Amino acid sequence: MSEEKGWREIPRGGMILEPGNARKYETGSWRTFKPVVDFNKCIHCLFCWIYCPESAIIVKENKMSGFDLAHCKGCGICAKECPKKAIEMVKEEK
Amino acid sequence: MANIKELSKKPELLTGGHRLCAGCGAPIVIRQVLAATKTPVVIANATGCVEVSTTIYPYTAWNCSWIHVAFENAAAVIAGVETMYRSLKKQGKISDEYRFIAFGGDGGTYDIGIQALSGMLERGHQCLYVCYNNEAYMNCLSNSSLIMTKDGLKKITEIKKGEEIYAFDQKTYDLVLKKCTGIFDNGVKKVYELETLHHSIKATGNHPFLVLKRNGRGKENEFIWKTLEEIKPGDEIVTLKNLDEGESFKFKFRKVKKGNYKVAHLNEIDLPEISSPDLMKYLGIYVGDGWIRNEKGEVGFALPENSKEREIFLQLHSKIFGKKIRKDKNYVYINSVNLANFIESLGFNKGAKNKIIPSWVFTLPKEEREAFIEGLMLSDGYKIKNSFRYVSASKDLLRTLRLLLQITDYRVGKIHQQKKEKGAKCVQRELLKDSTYGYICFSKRREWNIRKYPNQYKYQNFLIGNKYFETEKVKSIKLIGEEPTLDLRVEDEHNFIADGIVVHNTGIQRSGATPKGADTTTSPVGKSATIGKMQERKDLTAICAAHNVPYVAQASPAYWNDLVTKVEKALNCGGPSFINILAPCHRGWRYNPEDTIQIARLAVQTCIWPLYEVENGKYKITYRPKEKKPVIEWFRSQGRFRHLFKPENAAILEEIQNKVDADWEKLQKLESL
Amino acid sequence: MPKIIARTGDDAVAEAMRQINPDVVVAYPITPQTEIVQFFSEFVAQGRVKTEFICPESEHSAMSACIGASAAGGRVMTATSSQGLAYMWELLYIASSYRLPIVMPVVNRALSGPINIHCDHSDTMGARDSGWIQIFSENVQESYDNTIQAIRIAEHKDVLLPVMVTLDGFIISHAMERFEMLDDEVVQRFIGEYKPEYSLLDKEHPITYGPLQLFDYYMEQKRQQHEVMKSVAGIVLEVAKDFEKISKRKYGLFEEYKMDDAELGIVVLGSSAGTAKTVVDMLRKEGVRAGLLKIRVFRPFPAAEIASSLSHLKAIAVLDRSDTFGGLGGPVFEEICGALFNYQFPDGCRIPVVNYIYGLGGRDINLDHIKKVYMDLAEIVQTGKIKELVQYLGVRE
Repeated sequence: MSEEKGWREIPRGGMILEPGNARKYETGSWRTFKPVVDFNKCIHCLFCWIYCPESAIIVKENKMSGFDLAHCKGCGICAKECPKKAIEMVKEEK
Repeated sequence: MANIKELSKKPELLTGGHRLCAGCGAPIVIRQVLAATKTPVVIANATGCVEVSTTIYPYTAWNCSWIHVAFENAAAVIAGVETMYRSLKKQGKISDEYRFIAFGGDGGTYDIGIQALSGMLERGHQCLYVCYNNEAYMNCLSNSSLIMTKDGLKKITEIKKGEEIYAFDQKTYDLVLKKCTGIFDNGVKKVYELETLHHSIKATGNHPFLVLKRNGRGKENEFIWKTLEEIKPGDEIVTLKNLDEGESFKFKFRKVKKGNYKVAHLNEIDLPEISSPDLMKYLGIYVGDGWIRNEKGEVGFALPENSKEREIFLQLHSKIFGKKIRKDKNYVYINSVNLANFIESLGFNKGAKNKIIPSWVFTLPKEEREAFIEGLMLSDGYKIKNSFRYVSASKDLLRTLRLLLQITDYRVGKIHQQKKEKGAKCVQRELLKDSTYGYICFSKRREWNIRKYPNQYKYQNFLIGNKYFETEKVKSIKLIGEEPTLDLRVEDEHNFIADGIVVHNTGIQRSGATPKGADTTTSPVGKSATIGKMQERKDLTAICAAHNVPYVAQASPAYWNDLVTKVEKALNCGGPSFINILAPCHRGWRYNPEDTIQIARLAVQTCIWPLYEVENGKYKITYRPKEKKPVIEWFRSQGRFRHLFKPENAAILEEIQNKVDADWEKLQKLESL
Repeated sequence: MPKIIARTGDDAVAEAMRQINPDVVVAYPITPQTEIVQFFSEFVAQGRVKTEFICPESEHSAMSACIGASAAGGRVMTATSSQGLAYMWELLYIASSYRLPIVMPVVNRALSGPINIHCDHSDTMGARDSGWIQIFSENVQESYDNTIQAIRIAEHKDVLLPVMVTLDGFIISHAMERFEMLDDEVVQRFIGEYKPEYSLLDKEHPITYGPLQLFDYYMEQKRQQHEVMKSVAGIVLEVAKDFEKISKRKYGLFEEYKMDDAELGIVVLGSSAGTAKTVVDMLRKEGVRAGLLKIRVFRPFPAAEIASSLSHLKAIAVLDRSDTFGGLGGPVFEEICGALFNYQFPDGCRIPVVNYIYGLGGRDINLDHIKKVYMDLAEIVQTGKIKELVQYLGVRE
């Protein structure tokens, strides 16, 4: 949580002027299970990317390249939908 | 066709860090919609899950301009933004192409938001309204089923409203006649075949059957309704074993005075006005061995000379009709236009593969039915040890015969199939070509000596001693494929006899123990857990289509390609557009979060959430499930429907399946317009 | 050259709107505001304005669209009355909290029930806590002038709040009066171009309007809004000064009529002030030291200034054209009492102040009624006793 500002500092009208700053709020701590990908099985179909509710699949140069663990909530949809069963949900070690 | 790799290159307009539940369907929908959207885009959002969770001050997960005002006005707000855009563009103050999208949950769209949505659609703003819908909703027999009616055994497709149908009185276990109050076409559905030793029936998984519930030693046994899916081999169901003594059938045939141009002579003949054992025997022979050639005014029979059948036949013919007969080595012929027409009018059908036993035969007195059976046996039947076997190429004939035999004191086994090659002998004739045919085995029924061991016999057959009904153990239940289905509604008892088995009708539900009068409600007596009136959600997609906007569609995030294509079409349609997208909510619907996409897929496969679009008024189904799944799978997949699986609510599941099927049919019809 | 023409109040407001030439107008008709929308839509049809004009399906959608349009960075206007204002009530609060400079003429009409289409102030008084600036007009000229000034007030960078300009239903809206209409270019020059700092249509700087603010931020946001209202009075006067230059008409936060040496004073808003001024003149002839204070800016309430203006009177009658049904009296009465108590007489008000609720649902108020008020005040001064603190004026007992 950012330091809370006083009424003089906050923008007028309740506006938020910094688009997409929710990235700073890390929901990764919500997880119990985290996704792990086996790149030997992955065919880079990117279904995991299009089904992820958190935009937590990182795609680089048209390839699935990993997970944004700062935001991944561990819902397991990517593992469920992967056609090659390349993603496994693994219990998080805390 | 959307290219997922191209889509993945676009900047993410909804970032991570929003606080929607893990596995929520809504952000998946939004991400897919925005992946299909060219920037710059302005979004108006109604109050709801998405709005609240994506913009908790001072954070916003939106990487584009976004405005939320109130619950019911997302459409009005986006209309205002779009209007300002048009005004500023007209003044030359803006040059970029902007896109305008409103997001609303089904709450803020269907009810409180419908006014603003309607206004936006009507005024022609170039905006897309996306409803992320996280509250979707929310008993048939195969068409070939044979129903026992007052007028005899009829196909379910022939039953008319108001007809009297035989039913099982659940209090007295008596055979009663009740009116049919409705017939329902439920379309093509997945169908199972249930078999007992002497009966078989095809029905959908949710069709209820009357099953004996044994409550244990010292307690009363009772009948309860169970759906086919809940029935196991070994369960005892109620079947028909006897009908009341009927009456000779009065024929309504009218002779013609003139033949057609091919026939030289009419060859007048006396025709009987009422049925008789002799006539029935004659007709039995006809079914197996006879044929008609109307154009020639000829009736023929395949009866080889010097055979016993021919002898008996000639005697019968002379007795009934008295007319001359032409004979040759293998066949006998009668030339009479009216005889040909008469026999044709009786409803036995023509052709070896098509012959059936018409309904009126079932209403005859026992003596006449037995004579008919004798006649059949003379033609295509034969005796093997202590039982009889009847062979026929007509499956329908075997089915109807089987039921006729059952109510004429015979016990019949299942219908067997066999293949024989050309030239092989079948009874006493050579086959003209390869054919498959069937046969049934049957024997006279033996009565149990119930006076000697009353309790024991009652244990074997709960309805022992009952004149009309008995119980039989279920031998097997098999999924056999998809068939067109129908169902009936019968007054009062709400059951009827299909293929000799007592089955429940559609719609109104009533448990075996509920007294009459409580049966128009769907809630079981005494229980507080009611289904509530399953008031259906209005069809908002149809309402939007009725605004005559250029583009309206339904989509599901499980079919992302279809969704993306639709969003692109909507944004380029040049006017207002509306897309209703299913967004499963695992909190509300109670399933595992990882299954969100599966659920979104299942909704489409069960046709609960069909995928279609209406482009300038033209309907098009954009995805047809290869295998249309029964709605029961949809209901099973989520905890929120658990209450629908109580046996007393079986009829509701059926009703819903019917509605889903009817809507799917309607959608297909709309597509053809 | 400004021309003197005869127009009804609605017509004059429509002309002002035409001259302002906003980017977007979204308005829904309701008696007695209908003519504003009608006349303006004719201007749109004739191509005399650049405005994109939408006919929404309700006032709620009208204000919703105005908020959307204003957030999209342009000049937005609408107009309404009575039930329409009530229908958009939730959005009034939102518009002001988003600091959007929407200008809305409101034709004062009684709120249902019972349903009534005539003038009283219950509609705008009902919205006095919504965060909007409220300016009351006495006649057609003021309605016209206030609408134009409202644009400057709303869009001022230190204000950025929506403004409602009120005119009495039928009495002003449908009565024809002579008024001076300024030249189009003069008005355009006066209001200038609207240059919004933020806009939804600024693709380089995407913004989020309307986030969820929980208990950790809501109060700060409201405190900020509270503070802004304090700057309004100064800016209203500034704009009025500029307006005087182009029109030769003076405006302030309120108008003092023969108040300098007055002993008995009435506080009144709207068209009844005109009637009251005539009574003041009559009484003055008879030697009564009568005076009148007509409030122009009701929100933000210029408490200190009004209290100062009233401080020398011997008795005050506050005329309210609406009731609070359970408050001390009418809304203006409550404000006046509060102002006097806090800004002049913190230890207790030495001036007797009484309240007359009048003219509800268009009930006529005439010279005799107002004369009666002054007579009552005279009696209070003489006897030192207040017979009735709050009473209905002009009702059949």
